[in-house]
Amino acid sequence: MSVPPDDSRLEHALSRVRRGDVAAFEYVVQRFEQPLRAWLASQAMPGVDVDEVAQRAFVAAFARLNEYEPGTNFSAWLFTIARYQLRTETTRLRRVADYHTRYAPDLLQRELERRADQPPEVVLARLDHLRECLKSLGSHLRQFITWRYEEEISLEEMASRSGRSVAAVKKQLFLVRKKLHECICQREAAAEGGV
Amino acid sequence: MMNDRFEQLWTDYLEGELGEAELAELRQLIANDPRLAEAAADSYQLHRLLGIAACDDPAASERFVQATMACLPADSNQFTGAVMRRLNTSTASRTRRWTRWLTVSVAAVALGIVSLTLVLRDGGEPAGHQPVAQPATTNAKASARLVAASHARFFGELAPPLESILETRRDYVLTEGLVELEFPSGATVIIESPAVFRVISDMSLALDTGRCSVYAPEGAEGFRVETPVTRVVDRGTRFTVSVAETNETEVQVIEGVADVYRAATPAAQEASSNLDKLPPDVRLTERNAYRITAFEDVALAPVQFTPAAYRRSLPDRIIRYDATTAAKGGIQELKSVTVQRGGREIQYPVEQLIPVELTWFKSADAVDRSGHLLGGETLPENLAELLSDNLLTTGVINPGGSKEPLTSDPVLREDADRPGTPGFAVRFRRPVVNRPGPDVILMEVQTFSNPLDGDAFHVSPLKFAPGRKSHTIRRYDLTMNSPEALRLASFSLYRYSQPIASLEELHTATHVRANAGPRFHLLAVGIDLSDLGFAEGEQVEGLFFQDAEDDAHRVDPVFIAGFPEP
Repeated sequence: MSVPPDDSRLEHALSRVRRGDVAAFEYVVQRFEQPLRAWLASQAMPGVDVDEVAQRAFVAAFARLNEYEPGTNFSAWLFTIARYQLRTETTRLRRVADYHTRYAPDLLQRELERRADQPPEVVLARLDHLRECLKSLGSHLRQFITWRYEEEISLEEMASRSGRSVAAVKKQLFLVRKKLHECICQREAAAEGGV
Repeated sequence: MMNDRFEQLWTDYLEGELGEAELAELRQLIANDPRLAEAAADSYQLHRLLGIAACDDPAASERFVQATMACLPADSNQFTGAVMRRLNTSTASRTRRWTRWLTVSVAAVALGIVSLTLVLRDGGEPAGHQPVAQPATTNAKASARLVAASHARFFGELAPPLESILETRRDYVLTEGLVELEFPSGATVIIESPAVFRVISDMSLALDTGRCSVYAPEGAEGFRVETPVTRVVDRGTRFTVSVAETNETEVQVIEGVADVYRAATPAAQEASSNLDKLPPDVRLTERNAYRITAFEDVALAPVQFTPAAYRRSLPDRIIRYDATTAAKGGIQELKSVTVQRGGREIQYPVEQLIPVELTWFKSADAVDRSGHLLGGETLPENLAELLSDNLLTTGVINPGGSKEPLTSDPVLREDADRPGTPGFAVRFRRPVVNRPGPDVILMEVQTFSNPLDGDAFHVSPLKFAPGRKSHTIRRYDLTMNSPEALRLASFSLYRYSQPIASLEELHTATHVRANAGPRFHLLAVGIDLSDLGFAEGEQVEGLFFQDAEDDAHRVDPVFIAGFPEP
């Protein structure tokens, strides 16, 4: 067993890919899969299939690998490609006639676009904060997150399992998200030395 | 203070329960209060991140990685911008369909590249044959199955899993190893690399280059192998077909009868639909061999019969294993091992395997940052059992080693004059009897940043005697390229701050626990005691293992056991 991954390993894998070893690209996908999907998830408008865009970004990076300058910041290069892929998909969605009716209030879309240049590091740090905040949730609150995001069960089933009304479940979900948001903000402030 | 109505509408929005009128109302609320737009965006981003955080499932990640890899062309340098251009202009058929479309498009480009590198052949297949890669298991029309594989690697794609159905009329480029196909009629074909082949129908296979050994039992008469210059039609037999890069084809009949048709003859052109009624160009009987050349004209000539060319089975090897699945995914506890020994496939429940006990361990002289133990959150008192418990997430890893394998007994009792031998020793709970094929199984954890064929190691007798020798294994039976090498459940690594000089130190030295990454798979290799010079039927009480020190990666065993007598 060898030591944890580092940039030299990444460059080695990229070098092997350039020499025609397609399998070596698997390491690249493994290394960036989660950060890329997380960043895209936070930037993408409703209706965008994040995994699809992420996959497209990887394929584009693979196809254009000869444009990448070895030894420079591959992560930044990959995220730039992903940003363009996301814009392409966003443009396509906007052109769908009933997009706003079906998917998103236009003002939400505008606010997300305003945030489109959030650096990946910020989003990834937020994801880490979120994971920590989830740990600090009480088990009864965490249960709602598990049902909603892991098991993806319906509101009705959540209501049945928790012995509450659907309206109460909705309220609970709203409050849990709000609590998590506040927790993340506190952790971000602490990380910046604000607390 | 947040607007209660916004709170209600926004929650409904995230739950996908907002009607058109409510969406308009939500839009109006946001328009009236810019802070709500910000709150909505915050909440939306959190909602999306929760989807990522709550599903930290290694299996899902692995699926994504594999799906992405399946979209890649064979070579980034040769990949034209065509696919990307099409991607950017394509606006129809999105969402999940995109993935399938890209897979097909990219694979078509990749196979186009492959086909340019191959000699174009007139094999008598229908005109306009367009090989297109799709997942092997999705084509319901084909029914030739991949039933066995040994070290098989395919150009630009992963090997199909065992028992998967191969597509018809799709080029498979076998670059390494061997595969065995079984057709519905019962005919079996073993194909040796390098080879390019296609399943044409339930009764025929096209072999563009390479060698295959065909067995057509009763009921499979009429099975045929098409090459660029011939069609070999079985009449109830065993035969081999070898196709050189020049299209020169050699047919050897081991048993029974086979008819050979030259592809360029009118007879051959009609043969696919009417074979039984046409006279062959030559009928080969047992121990007959012919070479068919096609430089200017197709010519047949007898050649020397070489029965050794026929392969009756794949090499003895570990075929697969079965294990329980952990709650969060990944395999955890071994249930059984399936092995081919002496040409016979045997499945051993784990209870029947002969366990080992670790009796010696010595690391390299330097501290190994990856540690020496694999386990859960706690370790058992007796570490000597870590290689024999059925848990695949426990083991003793990164032993010391040597570039050169041992030629004399390992030193297992260190003193001032004789340092102990780096490596580890195991003793079987009862002796393992040397029989044909693998007698011992070693399983190790491996990840994609390690050697894909497994970490090389030497295995030696504990007591050398005339004829006994060390044996080096550089390639496992189940490698990172094998679909049968399953992903492991999460585990912990135990790191030491000092090199480990003995089994006792392994117990007593200070160590710290660290979580390992989620990308580990379990490789396996069979060890034939005959390779160490043990005689058939000889009993073996223990073995000594050393890392081969051929690279920066060391062997990481988690399970070693002997096979009982078949």
